[in-house]
Amino acid sequence: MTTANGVKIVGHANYASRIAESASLLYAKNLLALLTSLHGKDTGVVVNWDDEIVKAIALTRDGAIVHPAFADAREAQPA
Amino acid sequence: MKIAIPRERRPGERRVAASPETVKKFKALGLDVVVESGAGLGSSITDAAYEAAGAAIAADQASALADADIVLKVQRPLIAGEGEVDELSLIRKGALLFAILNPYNSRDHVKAYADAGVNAFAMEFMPRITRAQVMDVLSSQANLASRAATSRAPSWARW
Repeated sequence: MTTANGVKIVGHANYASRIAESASLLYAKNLLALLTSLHGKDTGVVVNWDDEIVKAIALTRDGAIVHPAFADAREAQPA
Repeated sequence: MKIAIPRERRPGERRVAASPETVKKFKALGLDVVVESGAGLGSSITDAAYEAAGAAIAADQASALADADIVLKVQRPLIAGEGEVDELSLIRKGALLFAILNPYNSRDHVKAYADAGVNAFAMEFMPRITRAQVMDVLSSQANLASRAATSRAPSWARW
C-alpha cells in the first residue's frame, strides 16, 4: 500500500508462515526442547506445575483456567 | 505415551510442529509419534520422511488425535463454529496441548480448552530465562521473519 505521503509499506500478515520450511524446523526444536525437559526416563512426560516455565505458559489445568491473565475468561462471550 | 502432530488448518499456515529430526528424538525418549497424513507438505516434509524417522502416519485428523496424550500444533485449534472441523473436540480430555495459542486474541478459546479438560500451554509465553532459551518461539520465529522481510521488501516495491 502507499500512504498519503507516498511512502510504500510492504509486508505480510504472517511472515513466519511464508518461510515455512526453516520456521517449522526451528519451532519443532523449541517443542522438542520443552518436552525433553518435562520428560523423565521412568515417568514419560510429566508436567511439574510448580516449575517456572510451566507456570508461565500454562493456560488451563484439569478444567480450570490457571493463567492469571485469563482468570476472567470463564465468563467470556464467544468472539 | 503418544504424541500427535495434526495438519494445520488455519488459512495460510504452512508450518508444522514436528520435523523428522524431532520425531527421531521423541522416539529415542520412548515416545510414540503419530503424524496426520500431509501435515508436513506445506514445509516440504513428506509422510515418507516422517515414517522413515519412526512416526506412524494417520489417514485423518481424528485418528491422529485419538488417544493422544500430547498434541503439538503451530496455531490454536479450531473450535466449534470456526471452520471446517471442531479440532478441539477431537483432543481427548486430559491431553496436553502445546501451540502458539495467541490467547489474548482468543479468550473464548481459553475457556473452551478448560471446558474440554485439555491442558493448554502457550509457547509464546515462554519466559526469557537461560534455561528456556532453546524453547523460545518468539526468538526462533521472529528472527527468521525479520531476515526474510528485509531481504524481500525490495522485490515487492517497484523502484
